[in-house]
Amino acid sequence: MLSGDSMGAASLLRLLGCITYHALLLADCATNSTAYELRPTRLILQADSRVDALLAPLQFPGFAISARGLRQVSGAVALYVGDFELRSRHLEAALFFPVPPTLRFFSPQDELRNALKINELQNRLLQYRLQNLNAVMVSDFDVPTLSGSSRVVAQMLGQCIVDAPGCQGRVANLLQSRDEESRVERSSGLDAVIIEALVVLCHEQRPSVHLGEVAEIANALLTRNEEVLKLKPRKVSAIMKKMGLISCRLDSGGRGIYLLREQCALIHRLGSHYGVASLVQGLPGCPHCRDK
Amino acid sequence: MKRDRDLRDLVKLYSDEMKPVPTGGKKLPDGSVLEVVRNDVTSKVELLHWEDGESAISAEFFCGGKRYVPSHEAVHLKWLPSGASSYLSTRDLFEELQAFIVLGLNASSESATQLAHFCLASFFGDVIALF
Ligand SMILES: [Zn+2]
Repeated sequence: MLSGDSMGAASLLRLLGCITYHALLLADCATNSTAYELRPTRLILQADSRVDALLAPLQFPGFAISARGLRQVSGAVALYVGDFELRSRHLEAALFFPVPPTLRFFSPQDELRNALKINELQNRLLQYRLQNLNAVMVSDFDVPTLSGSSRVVAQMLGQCIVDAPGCQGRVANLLQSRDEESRVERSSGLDAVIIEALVVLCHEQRPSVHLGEVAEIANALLTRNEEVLKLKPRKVSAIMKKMGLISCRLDSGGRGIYLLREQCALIHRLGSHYGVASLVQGLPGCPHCRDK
Repeated sequence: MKRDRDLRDLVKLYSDEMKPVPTGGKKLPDGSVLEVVRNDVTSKVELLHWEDGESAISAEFFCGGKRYVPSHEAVHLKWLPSGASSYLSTRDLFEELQAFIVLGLNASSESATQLAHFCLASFFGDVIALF
């Protein structure tokens, strides 16, 4: 996902067009063309509303689109976003590349001048693909120290590196700062605050808890963070539902959730994901803190 | 009468089987792989068949009773390999990609590393998710 300087982006896409697999330089998303059978690398100079809708099938192999029959359109994509605001949640798993204004202009003439070199690289890259296709398919490369989408991107990039542990290892460095940024973002969001409140309640060994009590603790945590926002039980319920914690009517006091072993385990897992501070040390004696 | 009909059925079956199947590259049921390449003398798009580390190039390939030919759409691809050639080691190939990017764009080494990863990964777009 490219952002930043537009001339630089066009230049960069042109260069990528020389050394990626079945590259197509496109001015729009164009999945309706029959070129899908080539499994092209789409290098798109202009984002539009169609890209939003197509992010999932482009990004995840196996998810087809229905256009003149079912079609698989997945493949590598580099997209210059420019000023267009993409809304898809699938954007999270993208690799972001801010295009610096200092890039040298890579022209069609440069492309021609380098034709021999480009052909050599294409031939070597093809042999690399053919020789390593099976190894990439079964690769279980992972960087457990990264989290969320940074870890997914690291897996994708690292799995494509065969027999070069040095190159593979450097994938983690590339994604380190992105990971730190998203950890901070996650831990300061409302989801994180609600999970932190639920961790507190788990540690109090409460058998069940009303939404109003979760809201009360969450609001206290928000005040600690100097936020003026006050969460209402209904909002708490909606956020909890999104995370797989579904409330029910507990008693005459209203709705809430039971904190059974299964729920507490999930709350702890979510707590780790959101970087809840109290889970870094953990509570001595809590089986979920120990298992985490 | 019946013999004529049988013969007609047989001819139809044969011509169906021999109908060209356009492909932009495919892993075949026997584990071998087809890829589209461009002949560097004639500029024609052809198929490269890869099996057990050996490659052969031809205008068409027969496998499992099917006749594979290059997809017509492949003519739209500006850059195609003309064959498969040794990359020495993954590290060598990776460094070569980085050098090409640095030279072409005057990019920083960190940017070149990131882009080289993307290029390499694009060759596996059918087996991994990449965006
Ligand atoms: Zn605990």
